[in-house]
Amino acid sequence: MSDPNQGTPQAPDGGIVGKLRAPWRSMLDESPRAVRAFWVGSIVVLLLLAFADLFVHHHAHFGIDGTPGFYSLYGLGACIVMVIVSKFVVGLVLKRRDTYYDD
Amino acid sequence: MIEFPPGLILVLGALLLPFASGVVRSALALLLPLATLVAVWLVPDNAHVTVPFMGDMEMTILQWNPPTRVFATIFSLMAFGGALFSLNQDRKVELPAAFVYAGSAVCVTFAGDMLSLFIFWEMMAVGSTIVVWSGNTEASGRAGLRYAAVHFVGGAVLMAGILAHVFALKAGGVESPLELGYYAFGPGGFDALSFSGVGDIAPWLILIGILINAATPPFGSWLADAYPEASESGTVFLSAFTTKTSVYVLMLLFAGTELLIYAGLIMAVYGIVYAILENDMRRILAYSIVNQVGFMVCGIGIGTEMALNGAAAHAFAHIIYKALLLMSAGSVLYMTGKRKCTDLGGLYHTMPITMWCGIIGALAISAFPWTSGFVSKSMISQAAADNHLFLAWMILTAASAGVFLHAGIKFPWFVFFQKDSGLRPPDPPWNMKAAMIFFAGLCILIGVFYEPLYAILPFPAAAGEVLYKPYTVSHVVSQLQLLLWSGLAFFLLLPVLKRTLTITLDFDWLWRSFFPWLWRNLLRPIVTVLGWIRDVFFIESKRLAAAFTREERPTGKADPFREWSLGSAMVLLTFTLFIFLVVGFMN
Amino acid sequence: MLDIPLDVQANLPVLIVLTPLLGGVIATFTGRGVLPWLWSTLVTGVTFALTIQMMMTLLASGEPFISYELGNWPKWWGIEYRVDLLNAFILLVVAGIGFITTVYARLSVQDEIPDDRHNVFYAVWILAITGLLGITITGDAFNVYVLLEISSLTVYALIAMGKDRDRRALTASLRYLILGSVGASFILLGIGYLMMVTGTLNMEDMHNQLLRMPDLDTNRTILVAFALLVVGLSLKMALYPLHMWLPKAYTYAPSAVSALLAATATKVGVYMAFRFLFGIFGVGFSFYAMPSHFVLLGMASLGIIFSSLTAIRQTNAKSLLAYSSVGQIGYIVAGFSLANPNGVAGSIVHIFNHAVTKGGMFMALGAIAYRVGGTDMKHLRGLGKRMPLTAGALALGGLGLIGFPLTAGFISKWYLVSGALDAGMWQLAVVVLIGSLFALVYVWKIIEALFFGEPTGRTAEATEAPLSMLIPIWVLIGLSIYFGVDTSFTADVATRAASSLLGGLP
Repeated sequence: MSDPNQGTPQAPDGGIVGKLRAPWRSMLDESPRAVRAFWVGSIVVLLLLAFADLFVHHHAHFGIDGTPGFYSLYGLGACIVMVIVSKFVVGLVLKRRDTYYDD
Repeated sequence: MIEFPPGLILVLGALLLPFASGVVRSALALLLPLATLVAVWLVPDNAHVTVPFMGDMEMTILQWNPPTRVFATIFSLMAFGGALFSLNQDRKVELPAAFVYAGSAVCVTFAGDMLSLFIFWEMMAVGSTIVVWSGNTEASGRAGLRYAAVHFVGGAVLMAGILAHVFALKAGGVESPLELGYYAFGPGGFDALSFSGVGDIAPWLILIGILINAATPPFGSWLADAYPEASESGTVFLSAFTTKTSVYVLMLLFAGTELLIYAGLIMAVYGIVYAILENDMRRILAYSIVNQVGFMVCGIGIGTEMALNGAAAHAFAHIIYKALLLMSAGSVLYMTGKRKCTDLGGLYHTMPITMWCGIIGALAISAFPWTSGFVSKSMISQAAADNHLFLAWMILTAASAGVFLHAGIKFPWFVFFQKDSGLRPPDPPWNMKAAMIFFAGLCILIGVFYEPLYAILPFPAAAGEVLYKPYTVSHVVSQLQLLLWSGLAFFLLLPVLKRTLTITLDFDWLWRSFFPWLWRNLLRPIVTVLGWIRDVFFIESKRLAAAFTREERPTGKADPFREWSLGSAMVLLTFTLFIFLVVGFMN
Repeated sequence: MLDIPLDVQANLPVLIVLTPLLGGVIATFTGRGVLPWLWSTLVTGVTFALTIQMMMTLLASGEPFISYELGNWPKWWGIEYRVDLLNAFILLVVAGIGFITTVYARLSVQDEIPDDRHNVFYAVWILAITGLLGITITGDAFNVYVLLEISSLTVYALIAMGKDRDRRALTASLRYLILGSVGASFILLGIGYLMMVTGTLNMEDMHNQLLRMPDLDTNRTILVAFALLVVGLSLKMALYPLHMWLPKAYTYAPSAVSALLAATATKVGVYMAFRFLFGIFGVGFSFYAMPSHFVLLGMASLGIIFSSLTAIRQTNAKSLLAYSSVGQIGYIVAGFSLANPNGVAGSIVHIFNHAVTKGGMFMALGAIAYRVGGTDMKHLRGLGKRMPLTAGALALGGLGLIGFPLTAGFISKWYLVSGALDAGMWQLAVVVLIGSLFALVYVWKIIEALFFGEPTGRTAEATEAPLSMLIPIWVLIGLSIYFGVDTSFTADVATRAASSLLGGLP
């Protein structure tokens, strides 16, 4: 993801700051493998969370919210719908150049 | 014992600030909010202080209302955090104005009658307007004017509502028509939506006046318009007080008004939809204020003890994490001078503290378990569920997912990661870092040790009972599912969410574009024509008068408003006398 | 209380008029340089001290009023000076503003009026104040007319002295002279008719005679006298639409004169209306037998709305404030024509509050004219950076005009609206709110120019106004804030004066 021409600046040596920074850099910038690993790991976590519903008792108020995996699918679905509404309905109608009011 | 409104410490102390400099100024800036905080907690439980007002009237300027403690506490705390963050600023006016603003907000929470509430409410408007103007750019000047206009109009609407209600109460023989108790419209306020009398319009006017300040659409566009134009530190202050004071007042006056449920839901969704489209990082956060206040307004609309506690707790938590997010964005702006997501990215390289604090704020606003947002927001959802408000619950849950999408991931991702912008600024000065770390710590602290917060809510638990248990396995699992899967949605949709150099029109388009257009193309021609007619009508008397008095015409550009000529003035004078005589005779 | 000689104490009422009268005449002989100013500061200062003493004496005496017979002639034949709470208050305002504007005037007058005319200017200036004080203190209807003429003639002269800065001052003055004379002759006619009917010129006596008349409500002579007086007074106090003399006069007069006039002249007109409507005719006649409620409220409401709208369209800050003054007179008149305690009290309070606020604002504009050479919006542009204290005073005064909480303007409007609600006139409350919104717009225009423009031309080189101007400006603006927070003095005086007015005491 990083721009190869940009080069990686030298981090200040050692210290807590360096340690805080290191994992993010290796994961996102330098190693495509790590990115892949991140994706795989994330999806495993997501699936595990969804399947956890089989073992956790939810106190359902409306019925539908007791369905296993409801929160996962609802979260995913709601976000997709909101992005689509935002970008392709509201956005198409109301989006303007950012100098709109200056002219 | 404190026998005066604690907010006055900030308001009056602010007047000293411009005269201090160096260490003294820094000390004052930090100590005044702390002194206010201490004073808030030293006010005795049965405090009731009145001041005479205009001879025979009394204003109650100090009194505990149910939500006072939680709001006054967080307002003082926020003033401290904001002051710490802005300590290295050399703008002369901003911090005093912000203190007047914050102090007035604290005073609002202690006000015991509508008049003193209104007075402090208006002082907030003045203080905050000056804070916006302190951005000291042309854009902040114009945005500040629009901001001032909206708030003064809002103030006038509120005042009109108060007056209408005073009138109705007086007609009903009420002795002290300004007492807050008479204004608690609550659940019954809109049952009878009749417009038969003057009094019936009062709750509407008051509600609209407050909702303008709460940034509810269609009155809410001032927020995203003005806040991002203030300075880095100014925005931090602005984010905290105006909307949350409205939440406080709504809670006092309109708890349980069903209309507010829908207003809140609209706010929650509106904030997300606009934030997704936004490119300016601070405007993203501004829209998410609307979104978050939507949760609180919805809770107030539900109106049960659980819901009101939730709204109050959420206001408390929200002020902290929103300030934290804006501090993080402000630090980026301060160090890079850039505010558009399209210009930023990759800052994690050199601003780790800013990044981590931003992420903690983002997690807190998304209500991640073990952050402050989790222990507050869930009460509102719980209240919706307990009351079987299916639609409200579904939308609130969707909005919770949307928060993570637009604020929880979008803000940190585009600012600190994504593509590398090549910018390599270091972390900001120590005081900014300290403020961020302080608030980040609070976000986590409240998320883990939530009992002290629960203890100061408007309706504390009875002895031996537990107010609310946020950490159940079911709740944590469902929340993590909701958030992480919406995180998945973000990365899946990343190509669609690409940042663009655009703004999105809001209701302020009406007065920024449409009204000027209307004036140019419709009203001005009419006015011009009327002017011609007037000229024709008065031209003779004018000529006569000119001959009579040899009045010289002003040279150069004519006055924009033509004066009465002497002749027509005389005619008018005689005519007035005539009218008087005729009407007198008829009597 | 000050330790002053007994015979001064006993003759306070007449000294309040005599001091400036003689002082004004002497001022003619003070020659050039700084002496005329010094002398008039002394004279107005002493006068101010006397009015303070008067107020204290009155409050200490516990009497409703203090009567003083000039030359010991019985009041039926001679002239009676009568001081009650209301006019003691107005005296205090007029003398106080007179003193403060005199202190302020030195540099402004130096700048705007040629050197060789300073002694004349200050002489006329003091005489104008004398006239205003005299109108306020006298209890004799004809004496009112005489002093009205003194104050009017001097004011015409003062306005005309603006001619060296702008020739249009001359036409403005002429315009005021013509209209003002018509108004004054209306008043004279009205007083004449009243004397014809009642056979007396003493106000209290007139009132008693009128009450004794069986056909009071239907007597045509009294009706005509009433109509003439109301119309004449409306013109004097610049009640819309009889305000046509005011905007130009205020705009082109020398800066110090604008400040003095705006703060005192129209207010004394209002005071005369109090005396005639409440004192002589009595509430019952003025407001119940006659249609004053209806006519005056209508004129006031129209004035509030239309002159505020006109103010918005002005490009000169002085004429903007002048039109705003017309609107503010509307509030004052609306208040007393409600003829209920809150309304009248609001009216009295607003006389004071507006005098202080507008006086301060006109002085601030004068300071700007002194530094920049004009008060057009283009002169004001960007001044917030160059003259922050002056600009700040204008902004604070502006908030007072809007009626913002914690300024004096809010208190007046609160009383006014309470009065309107007491009378069941919610429409007036709406008018007041709309007027405040319009005020917001025109004050905004000033603030926008001051703080958001980039200075050009002379504005760019301007420096902060000299202290001798800043101090008087901030004294008045400070008062307008102070009396917005602590209302005990003004509110107390106003409510007491209102109840005595409504009780029918002349």
